[in-house]
Amino acid sequence: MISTDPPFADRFLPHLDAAYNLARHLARDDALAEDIVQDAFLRALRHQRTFNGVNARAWLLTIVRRTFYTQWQQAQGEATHESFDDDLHGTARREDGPDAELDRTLARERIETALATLPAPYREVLVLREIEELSYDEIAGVIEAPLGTVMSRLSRARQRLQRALMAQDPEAPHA
Amino acid sequence: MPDRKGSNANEDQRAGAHSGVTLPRYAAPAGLASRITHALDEEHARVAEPPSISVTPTGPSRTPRFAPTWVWPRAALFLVCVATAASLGYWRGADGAHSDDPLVASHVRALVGDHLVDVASSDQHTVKPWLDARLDYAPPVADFAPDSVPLTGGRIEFVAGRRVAVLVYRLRLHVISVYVAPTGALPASLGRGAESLGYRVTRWTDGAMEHVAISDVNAADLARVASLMQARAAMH
Repeated sequence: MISTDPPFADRFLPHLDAAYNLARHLARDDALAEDIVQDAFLRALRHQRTFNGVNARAWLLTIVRRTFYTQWQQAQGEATHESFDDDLHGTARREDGPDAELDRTLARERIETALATLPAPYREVLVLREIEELSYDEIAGVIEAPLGTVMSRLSRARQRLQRALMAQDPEAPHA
Repeated sequence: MPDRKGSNANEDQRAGAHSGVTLPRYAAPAGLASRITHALDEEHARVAEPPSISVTPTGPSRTPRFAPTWVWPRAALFLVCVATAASLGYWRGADGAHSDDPLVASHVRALVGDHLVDVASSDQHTVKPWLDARLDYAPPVADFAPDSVPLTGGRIEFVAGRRVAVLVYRLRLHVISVYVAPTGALPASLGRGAESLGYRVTRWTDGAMEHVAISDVNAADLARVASLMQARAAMH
């Protein structure tokens, strides 16, 4: 703990939660997310010379994201790639008991479930914008896409999330 | 990072306004930070000088120019402490079993470098001849893809003064390095720790060959891989 390069750890470990959050949303699995984050930190250390010194969090998230896609492709093999098209989002229904109260936990689970049905490119822009509150410019940097793509994808992602929530439970207001 | 969580919750509320829902934030699990710090330590120790070297010079430079007499014994004591700490640290760093088992270090090096395999193949009949041609012994090579532990290739490492075969397997997203050497070729001290720097290590022998498997998979998975290999060896 003591001997880790202080500038590196001081700079990037504070963003561990952000890194894990993105990895967890992308991977949709706890253990996998941990693997990704650990791998990403090692990559970050190896490539820290390429860090421009400005935005440590965005830079780390870029690496987390790349790590996810690399590992994901390895795991899936080249054959199956989660296709990113409009028909993909399923309407996975949660097994709610008839008396289920929509308390905070349930609301969170409901949103989690809905979010998890979106394709990864939608999940990542939502997470980066709405949880990490990165600017559009920063998101463009992280996902390595033009600004216009970020904005259109984000807006489509929001619509998609709303639809997924409504498909789960048409009665409930999406609060 | 408990402080951040509170403010993040507030940020979530504000951010939620964007799409009308508050997206759930996942907090990093408890042990993750220390596992990462360990992994970084290992990597850092590999590329940098020993950390103990930088400690010593800070002692005397802090001493005031016209120091009262009582400062000197204390400064001397401080220097003795620093020197002791430095030498202890150095000694500990040199203690193979404790902090840097060369086998674990070589596994980590292969992981973070671009040198995981010298011969990339899931075909044991490709990997085995490749290894045999480069070693003075013929390690057994088997693929366990049906048991979801596919062979991804092999490499040669220089360990304890000799070339050693390393079989590389994948289990889910984890990499497992299995060092295979003739019995007696690996020093008894290597690969003995059950765990080193977050990596699990298991060592066994099947008579002619000694095996050391290293990975960050959980203990049960690593034991399963070991027993798969032992079962295969028993068949021959």
